[in-house]
Amino acid sequence: MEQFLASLAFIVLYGGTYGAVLFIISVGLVMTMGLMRVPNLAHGAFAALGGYLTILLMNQAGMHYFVAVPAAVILVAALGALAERAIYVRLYNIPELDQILLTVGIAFIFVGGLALTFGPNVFTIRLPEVLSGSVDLFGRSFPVYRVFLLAVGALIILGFWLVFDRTTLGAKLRAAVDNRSMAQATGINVERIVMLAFAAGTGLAALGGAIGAGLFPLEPLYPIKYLTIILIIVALSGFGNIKSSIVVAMVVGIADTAARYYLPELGGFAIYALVIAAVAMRPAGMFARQG
Amino acid sequence: MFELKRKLAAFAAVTALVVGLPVTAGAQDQIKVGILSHDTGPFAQNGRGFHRGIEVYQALHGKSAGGREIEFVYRDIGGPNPAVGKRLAEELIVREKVHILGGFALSSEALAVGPIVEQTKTPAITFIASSPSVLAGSQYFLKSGQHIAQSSSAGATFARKQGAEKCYIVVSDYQPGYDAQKAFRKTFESAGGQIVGEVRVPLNTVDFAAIVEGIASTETDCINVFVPPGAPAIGLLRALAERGLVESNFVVGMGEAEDHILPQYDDSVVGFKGALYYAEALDNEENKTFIAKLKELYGPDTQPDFASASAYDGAHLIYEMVKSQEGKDWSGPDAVEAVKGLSWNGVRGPMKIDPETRELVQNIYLREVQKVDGKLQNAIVDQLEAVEAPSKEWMEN
Amino acid sequence: MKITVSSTGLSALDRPRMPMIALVVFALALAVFFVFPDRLSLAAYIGIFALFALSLDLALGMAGIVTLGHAAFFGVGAYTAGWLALAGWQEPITGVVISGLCAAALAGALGPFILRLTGLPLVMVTLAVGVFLFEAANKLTWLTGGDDGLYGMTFSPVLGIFEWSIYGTTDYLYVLAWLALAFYGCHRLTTSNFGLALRGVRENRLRMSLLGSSVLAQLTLAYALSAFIAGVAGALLAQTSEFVGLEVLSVEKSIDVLVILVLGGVGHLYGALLGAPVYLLIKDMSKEWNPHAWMIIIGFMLVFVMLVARGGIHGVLHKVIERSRGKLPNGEPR
Repeated sequence: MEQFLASLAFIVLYGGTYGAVLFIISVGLVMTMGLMRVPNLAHGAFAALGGYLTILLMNQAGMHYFVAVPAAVILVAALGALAERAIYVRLYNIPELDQILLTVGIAFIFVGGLALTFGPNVFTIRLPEVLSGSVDLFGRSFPVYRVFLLAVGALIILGFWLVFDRTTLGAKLRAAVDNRSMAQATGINVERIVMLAFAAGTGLAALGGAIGAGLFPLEPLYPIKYLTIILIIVALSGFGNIKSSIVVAMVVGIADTAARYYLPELGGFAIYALVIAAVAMRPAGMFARQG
Repeated sequence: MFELKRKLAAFAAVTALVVGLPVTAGAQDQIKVGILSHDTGPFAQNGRGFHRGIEVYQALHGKSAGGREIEFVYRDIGGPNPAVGKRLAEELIVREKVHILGGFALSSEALAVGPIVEQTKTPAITFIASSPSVLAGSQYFLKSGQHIAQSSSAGATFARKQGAEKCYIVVSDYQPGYDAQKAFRKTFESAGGQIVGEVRVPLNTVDFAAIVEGIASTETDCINVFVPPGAPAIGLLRALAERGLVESNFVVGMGEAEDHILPQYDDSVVGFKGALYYAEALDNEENKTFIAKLKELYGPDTQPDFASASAYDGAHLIYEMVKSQEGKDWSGPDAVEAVKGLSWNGVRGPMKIDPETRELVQNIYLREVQKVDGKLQNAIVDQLEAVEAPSKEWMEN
Repeated sequence: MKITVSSTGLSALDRPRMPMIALVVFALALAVFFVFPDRLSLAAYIGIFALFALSLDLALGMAGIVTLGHAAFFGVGAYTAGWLALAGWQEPITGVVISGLCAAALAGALGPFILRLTGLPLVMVTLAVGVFLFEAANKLTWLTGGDDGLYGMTFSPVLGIFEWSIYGTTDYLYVLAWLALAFYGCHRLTTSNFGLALRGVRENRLRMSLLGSSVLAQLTLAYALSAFIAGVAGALLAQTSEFVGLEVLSVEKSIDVLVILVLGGVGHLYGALLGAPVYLLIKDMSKEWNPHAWMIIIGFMLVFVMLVARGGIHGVLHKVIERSRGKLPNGEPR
């Protein structure tokens, strides 16, 4: 029994951290899906860019980890805002297939660019002293890095809740997601909101890419390699539902960890079978109301 | 329809004449070597090693041998794509008229190209491809890498030598992983050890914590790992270290912690061991010259790896083959025949081509990650001399 | 979510004729045989991908099935051809047909379940099915050879006359013949009543089902036909390379073929013939200049095609031709 409880604690804690990183990386895409109905397949590229920029800022500019990460996030968010105005704004009214292909094109450009700039090596980001030890939690030792990931994930969820439910910006955002033209009619500047949301989404992806590098090492193919798992979160969340994406990311993280713990050799399959079943039965998302 | 058929047959006959016959040129003064490489995609690190190893060899030994100039032509396969590998090999032979093929990062590429090598009697040297079935693809295949079981079995032998009793095997869930797993298990068990657990990890695994948790809950004193270098290797080793297993176990792998990857790890990787045919720390003349030239050509921070070392030793083999045909009309089969049984000192130390199996007989080194002067590096802590590749029967049973 | 496929597809009224472009393309393809006799391996490879893209055009351009998992059928075709040869069935033409049928059977079995979906859920499910098959093939090493691949197969000469060789002469003409045949078949199909009905489905699924048309059955049939051709393409790859590697089932293959089709132009059948050479030649040639350049070039081309040159290469060619004939006033968007 004690053994079982110990493994349960492990699965929840480790799966939770994995889920937290998945959430941070994917939530931006969930937002874009909800707000603009654009399946931005280049989303992973912004995450990779966040990670690579962090490395660059730490190694070239000599910044500390805790300075470099926010700096990289802000830079990528700014780039996101720029990209939204320059490119993505043209995507809102074109067919889905064209959106997919155009964003795949952007992902290709990133992959080639990263390979040219940083070479084919795999990079991880050296953690500061504070994050590299371990702490005792629930009667077992637990790496500080994992606790840090969980804490950042929790902070972001809290932030979402505050912005969405407590600010007028959040109210406008929700209005824009629910019914864009209606929101426009009531005088909400939807364009500005969309840009801000896109910048925030890419910034969060960059944050996930930077702090998640311990789990998702950086390499030029990052944007394509992790696309499937990001898309899985988005699909199971119902293409645009932020609240359910929190639950979905956690469930996927924990289920994946549990599957790999109990049935390691089927772990590679389980997730895809789950996706096929879930999406085929409930195309609107796992937690969508039926009908 | 019949008319068309006849015409097509005529076309085919005509072009066959236009294109010319297989490479049977006489005592020409140039030998072309086609390298199937990876300049892009997930195996680009290997491709970079191929380029560097060969270029360093040419910088040190000149661009000709046996009275003939040697020219290398590279082609990028660009990912796990044996069909493209086969097409590029055909192109190298038909269009570039290469006399020798080299490269082959993946076993599947060598297996796909095998029939052409056999058909055109083109000698081919696999730098890395280490599947037990590679050499069976053609009698003109030679190796400058290894047979996967050489390192895997050596890892088991080293572990037993250090007194390991209970070992857990973790391999990636794909064919090379299965081969490595089998070789380690057989050797470890036949040396009196006990395998207490085995797991095949899917290649798409991102978070290895769950796998490692399963190992940690088993009583072990040894862990054998085999995962591809890059993200999976980093993920698995970090997870093992995070759980304190690198410290408490004899953890032995293959090429997961090469010197040039070490900056991606923190100090928790100290103590990880790898059994392989090459180590940067090898103290022999060839290796020292190789590394000095490498740093001279590509900058002082450049480090060798098994890919560049294999390419260097492969280039030597190619030069020896060309030398063997000095003053004669070039004949691929004769060149292969001439180097069977050849022994020489490569950057990896003494090596020999077994004339029967065409496999390499070579030392396998046990390397351990240590921290010296604040820097992580692999030190050689043990070695097995003149390790032979196991027989086909051994691998199959 | 409503179905929206590239707006550049033909409308029901704009029935494709068997036009000049097809003849020009095939004439050029035949010329390649004589002009570049030392590049026929590449040419055959391009032909196979043109065929694969053609199959996708049936599903995507004609029936509006947006998929990221078409490599599943390509892969099943390739493995079937490999297994047949290893089992002793070395006659290539029947081998190709059987392989195509196996791929079509898989599509027929999957269709009723997944073609109920549209839009992104459909994309996701096709992607997941593709990845699932890839993982399965990786694990079933006794069947597929896993990561090492399926090897050691040989095929008898085509029609008992044309020997296979490394010069790719037989390979190329053989692939070209299949491509021409498939192209003709697809052309007939798109102009048939069935093709018209599919275009109706693509443009307005609800209306067609109200008209009493069994939408799901029609989509499944189109999907199976498309899979048949994808399977043929896969089988041709297996036969010309005498090898089947895991990569035939990879997601990258599905993305590749989609990119090829879109660069060429969706919904006209010619797009496949134009996209494959452009994509693969850029990939091949740009690597000699800089190995990483091709991804950047293709990336920019995709962005360009989507933002500026809607309709891909075919669309641009079409516009140029129409304009030179004076049918389209300058600047009028088509």
